[in-house]
Amino acid sequence: MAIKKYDIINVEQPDLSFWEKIYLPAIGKGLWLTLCHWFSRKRTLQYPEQRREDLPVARGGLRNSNYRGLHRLNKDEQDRVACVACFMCQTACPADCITIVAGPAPWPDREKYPVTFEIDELRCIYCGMCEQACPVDAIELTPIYNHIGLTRAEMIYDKDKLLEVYDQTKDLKPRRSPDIVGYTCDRRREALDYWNKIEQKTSKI
Amino acid sequence: MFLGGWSSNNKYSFLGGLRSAAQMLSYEVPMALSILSIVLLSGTLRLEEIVNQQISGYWNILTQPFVFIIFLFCIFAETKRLPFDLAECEQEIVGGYHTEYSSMKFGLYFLGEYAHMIVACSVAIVLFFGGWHLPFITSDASTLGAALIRVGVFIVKLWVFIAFYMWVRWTLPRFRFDQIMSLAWRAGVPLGLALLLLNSIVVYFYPAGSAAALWWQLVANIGVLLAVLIILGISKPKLARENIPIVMDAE
Repeated sequence: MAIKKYDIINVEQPDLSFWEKIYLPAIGKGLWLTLCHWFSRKRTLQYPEQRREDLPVARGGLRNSNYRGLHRLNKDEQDRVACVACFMCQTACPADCITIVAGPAPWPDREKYPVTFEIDELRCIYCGMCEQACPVDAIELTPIYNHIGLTRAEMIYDKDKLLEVYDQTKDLKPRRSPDIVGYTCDRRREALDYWNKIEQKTSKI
Repeated sequence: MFLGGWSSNNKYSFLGGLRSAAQMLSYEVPMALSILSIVLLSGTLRLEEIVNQQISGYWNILTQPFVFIIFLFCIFAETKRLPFDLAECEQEIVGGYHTEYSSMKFGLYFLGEYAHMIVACSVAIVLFFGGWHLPFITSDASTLGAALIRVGVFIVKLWVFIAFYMWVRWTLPRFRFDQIMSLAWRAGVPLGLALLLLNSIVVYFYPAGSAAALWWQLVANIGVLLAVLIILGISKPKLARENIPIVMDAE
């Protein structure tokens, strides 16, 4: 893709003002800022006793809806795994930590389902790209940040474990789109309509 | 320090040692010049006499503010505290000259560092802040209590100064090495010389300690300070990186 001329933003270093060039007021300002911090409220949490979960978000608490912690595999309304084994998350994963083995689904409303679904939580960088890539909102990141294991093998979370995480966290962070049922026609038609609309708009321009 | 860095046979320690040696040598000069200004005005090298003169007159910080500023950045550089801690900057050369030392050897190095800091602060207090003088109180009492109070006053001043060291440490980022060198040789030395010259002119025309002399010293100091600030303010600073225009073919 060629770079157009109007895409180039020329960033020039702004000239320093008179007061900035004589340094001393700037140093004084910096010292004043440090002094203010010296006497301001301390932000440090005494971790095991105080936790971010207990604080309001405005004071540095944990935002459950978008914190990127341990993964979970969502279940649909019939308690089946919501994943359709499309490999989108595995493809999107920059750390290459997701391993899926797909098989033909035993249910009539979808073609495939994951026979195994493994995430290596040690390799994962918690970027959340799997969550973005998932077309059915099956994989999501939870606010759990203190998952531990004594061995490396323990930190490879398989399908059962990930589904268990869903059970643990579904009250804390409800599934984003629990309404997605029946993965076939309706949704595909919706998507098609959406793209058609966009195309019409752009063709007008 | 230099020998310690060199003898540990490590490139980072060696660099740290080299830097500390170069920095100390450079900053001795402006520091000596600023001390000379004070010595010239007091007419003595005895610290006690300098303090007594400040007690009977004004603290030197009030009459010699710019000399104090020069002295201040010199002692920061001498003790290698943060804006000038090139000798041990962790991000560039690991730990500098003490990289290879541990336990008590490291402890001794740091004891030396901090002792250096305390000594530098004490000298600054004696030369510029009236030593053990509490403002507005002049007493020649030589009882034990008076002596203790003087010691206490001095120690409190020392604490304040050390706190100032820490304060600056957490505020200012580190200079580049060539910036430090140019600050010493191109700013510190000429300014120190200019102030020394002006102060000696003042001392030549007025008896040291007279009100006129004090006023003229202040005028000389503030004049030099203003001149420096104005020159800095209207000069065009060299940019770290020249702006390179990107030339693109038109589509």
